[in-house]
This record gives sequence, C-alpha cells and structure tokens, in this order.
Amino acid sequence: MQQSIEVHADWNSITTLMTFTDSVEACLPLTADQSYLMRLVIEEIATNIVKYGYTDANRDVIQLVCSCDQGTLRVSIRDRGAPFDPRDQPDPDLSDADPASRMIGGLGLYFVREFADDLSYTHDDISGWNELIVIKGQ
Amino acid sequence: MNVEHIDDVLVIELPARLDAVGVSAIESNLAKTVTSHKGKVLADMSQVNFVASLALRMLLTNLKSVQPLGGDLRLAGLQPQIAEIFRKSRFDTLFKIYPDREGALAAYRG
Repeated sequence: MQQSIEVHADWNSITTLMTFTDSVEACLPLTADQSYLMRLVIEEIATNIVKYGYTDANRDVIQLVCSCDQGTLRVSIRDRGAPFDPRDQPDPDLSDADPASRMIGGLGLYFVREFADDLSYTHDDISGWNELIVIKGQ
Repeated sequence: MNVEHIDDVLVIELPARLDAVGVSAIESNLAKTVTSHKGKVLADMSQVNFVASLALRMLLTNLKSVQPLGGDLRLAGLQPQIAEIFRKSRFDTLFKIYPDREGALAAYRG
C-alpha cells in the first residue's frame, strides 16, 4: 500500500506535506523509527528543494510517495529543480562544543543519512527529474 | 507554548511537533520570552516527539542570546528519539540536559 501527494514547491507546501505525513502514519504500519525518518526526510529534503532546488523562475512540483512493503519503509521524493545528491554532501563538523561558535549547516541531511538504511539518488538529464529514494527496515 | 515562572526560573513547555510548521509558530514568541527574561530558562521537552534541524537551530539561537546576558537555557525530559537526535548532532555537548523538570530545577537551585 502506498500514499502519494504532489504539491507546488513553495513554502505553503511544507505545511501540506506535514499534514500528509499524519495521514501516512495513520495508514501505513510504520515503526516509531520509520515514522521519525519519514518526517525527517519530508522536512529536510522538501525544505531544501523549496529553498535551493527551485528558483522563482522555474518553481515546479514536489512529488512524494511513501510505501511500506513487508515492514520496509520506502520514501520517494521527486522534483525538477537543480540536481542535488544528498549522499555527496560532507558531514557537518560536530566537534565544536562552544555554542557561540558552533556551526549548524548540513545537520538536516546528516540526520537523513544517519537514520536511513539506504539512500539512492538519480537525476535524469533529459526530463530534468531528480529522485531521492530513502529506505528503512523495521 | 505554555510559560510559567518557578522561583527565578522561566519554564517553557515546548509543543509536540517541532517541525518547520511548529517552529515557525513559536519561534518569535520564544525568542522574545527568553531574551526579556534574561535569566535562567528551562525548556521542558517532555511533550516533544519530533525535532529536525530547524528546531535545533532555534534552540541554539536562544541559548546564544541568553548566555551573554548571564542566563542559561537548559533542557529537560527528552524522549528517546529526541535524545538520539541530540546525541547524533552532539547538541548534548552544547546544552545542559536533565531527565525531567524537577531535576533541572534542583540543579538550577544548587
């Protein structure tokens, strides 16, 4: 069983996507860790797409499909903005224990990489679609 | 967002979902409340069941604004998944974190 949604990639869509995760949680038999990861993916990746993937000149859609098959969560998030492979991003520097100087960029993608079992990313040069697939078992 | 004063400590109960929507709902009110108090602040996170990077940024911003004023922002009652986020990001080295509100208040008194 799967649940899907398509939204126009602007700030309002983040609220819509958060509401969508509530209905996914109600319909799919997810563990607490799978639910948490699904919310992380949607929050961190969709926010990145709205902020950096599209510009106001080319703003288009975000497509999201969540499914749970034999206990494994699969989240697919697609967009037609700038290609961006979250697997290539360096881990943030977590060593600074001084709040005044601590940098926090890159934490969102780091969480997604840390909590997922597997990430795959493709960019289709011809159609322009990016697709990130996030997998998490029980 | 519930706010109460217990002795000289400002205790703020954070809402369950600190996602992008939850953060934007409380962000400016929280910053105003914390900076106008200028002292000991405790964020009771026992109701919080989701945080992402935006929420961590908000908490760190408030810690950084209150510390130069001689205050502090401490945290209490992190649920296991929230504690895991703090461990993974090593935000547990930036904040003083207590198992519950009573423990945090006792530490502030001591």
